[in-house]
Amino acid sequence: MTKARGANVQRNQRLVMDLPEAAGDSLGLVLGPSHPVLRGSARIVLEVEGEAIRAVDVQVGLLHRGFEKEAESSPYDQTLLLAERLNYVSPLLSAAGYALAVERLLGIEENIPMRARRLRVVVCELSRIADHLTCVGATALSLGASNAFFLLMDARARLWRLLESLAGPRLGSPYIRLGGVNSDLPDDWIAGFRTFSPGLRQTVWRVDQLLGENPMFRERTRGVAILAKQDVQGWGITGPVARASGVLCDVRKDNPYFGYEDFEFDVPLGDVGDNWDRYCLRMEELRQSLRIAEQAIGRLATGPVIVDDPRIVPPAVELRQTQVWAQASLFLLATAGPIIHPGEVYSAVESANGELGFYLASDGSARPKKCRVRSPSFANAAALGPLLTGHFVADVIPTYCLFNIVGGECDR
Amino acid sequence: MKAALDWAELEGVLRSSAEVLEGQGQISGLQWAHVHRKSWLTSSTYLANDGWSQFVDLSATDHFVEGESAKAAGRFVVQLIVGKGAARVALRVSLRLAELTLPSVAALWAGAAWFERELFDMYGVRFSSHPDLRRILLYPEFVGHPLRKDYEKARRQPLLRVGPLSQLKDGPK
Repeated sequence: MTKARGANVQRNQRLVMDLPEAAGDSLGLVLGPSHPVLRGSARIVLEVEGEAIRAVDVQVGLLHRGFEKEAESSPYDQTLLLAERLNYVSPLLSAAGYALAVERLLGIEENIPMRARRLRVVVCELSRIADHLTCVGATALSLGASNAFFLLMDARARLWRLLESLAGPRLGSPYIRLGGVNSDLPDDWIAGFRTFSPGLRQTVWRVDQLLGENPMFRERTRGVAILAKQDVQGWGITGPVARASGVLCDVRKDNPYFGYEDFEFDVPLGDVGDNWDRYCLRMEELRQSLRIAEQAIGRLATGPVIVDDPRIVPPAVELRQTQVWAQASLFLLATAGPIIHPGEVYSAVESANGELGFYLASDGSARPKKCRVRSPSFANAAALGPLLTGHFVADVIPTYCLFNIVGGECDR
Repeated sequence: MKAALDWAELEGVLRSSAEVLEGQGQISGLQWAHVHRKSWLTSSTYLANDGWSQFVDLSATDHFVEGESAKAAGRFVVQLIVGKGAARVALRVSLRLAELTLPSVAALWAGAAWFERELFDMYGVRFSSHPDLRRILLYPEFVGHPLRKDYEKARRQPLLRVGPLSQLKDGPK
């Protein structure tokens, strides 16, 4: 990322500054709400003068499903199903974030078995890889590099096959459970992972050759949409976009969860904060996530994969057949859902787009009084309008792609 | 730079403008301070100047009680979460239904502008001196504020006729 860029950055910056005063002949242009490379839908209303953008209004909300309203009237365990559907590319990350929030609200974070934590790390990092592959692939496609897109989508398809074998569905995999994970790994899963990971490394290397060494790709990304380091925090931007601008923030390092402190990995940083940095950063994070997943696979502990706590997990079948209390607790879980003592929690995980936070408030009943999702995509999308002003129309879609705004998570 | 909120200093700042800290505490994940509506901007400015530069979240909780009169106090609690490094702090304020207004903090944290629009959209909280206060997740013709507890989940909205393309600039339809 420290590769010198020079002329391009300066030229693009000059473009921003040299924009002439409004001549009164600007044109309204509406991009979206459907676009082949956008994840989800958003309408981008531009005011253009020739090819240059005068004003941008990013209109989100077309995928609003009322997540928070629904969560307030659903049992805690059923909301997990909705949480998986926040970000369709990395459903396990949002599910893990929600499960962690509920576990922290119950105060049982430390009781989660080590094997479950390790498995969560594996699937979270694989989900992050899927998200980054999609992000870089879509960007490549938006800039006409469809060969890289197919390579990346092929890698993602192989990865999704791995995740599919864990719990069934290819998307929205119900693998994460409150208190642990759904089941242990299938017998041949680790062998499948060991075949997958060198293949992914090679794909990342090949894509880096195809895109990183491609003068066209460099020309189209360097110096475009520079997000200055001092602006990042005020916009509420976190995750890869913040790190590409040189701001060191990563929930996995700052407030470790699932035992992330046990693994060695680097948090890459960019220096300029343009689209090129955002691309390089995601490519590097692909390698780092694979590194974490490999370490976690190598250090899987033995033992159960879900906590033994009748408040959120039904007791084992043998107990239910012989003990009245076990049958009763299953009945309670199946009819009312988990009942959580009054309390509040703010819990965040590092999703593929940044800090994914959940604020939960319980009043002691089986339904949360408030379930708030702090969506990183929403905060990132807010900065896009001012950032794109002064750029070319053709830069809108690649920038939107590299900010990786996922409609479902942004609109909730 | 301190990685935790200095209560005494915040109290001092508020006292100097004849205001008080109404409450403080700690939940899993963050510290919180509860202030009066009139102290919202003073306290936010204090936080912004104290190095809490990372904007995190702005949300609200409706503490609606069935049959309660509309003027009852503490119906809404608005919560602003900001961060400094790994630390997170929440500034809270209670609002009554009769006066659902707050000064905007978008000048302190640019990212707050969209979150304030969301609060306006979902709860009907109005932010004074907001640069662009309009609905964000819902469309302009939407009736009511759906995250309020008195908005029934099953309530339906009227169907809309699709307008001409020129109206698109006003917002999603």
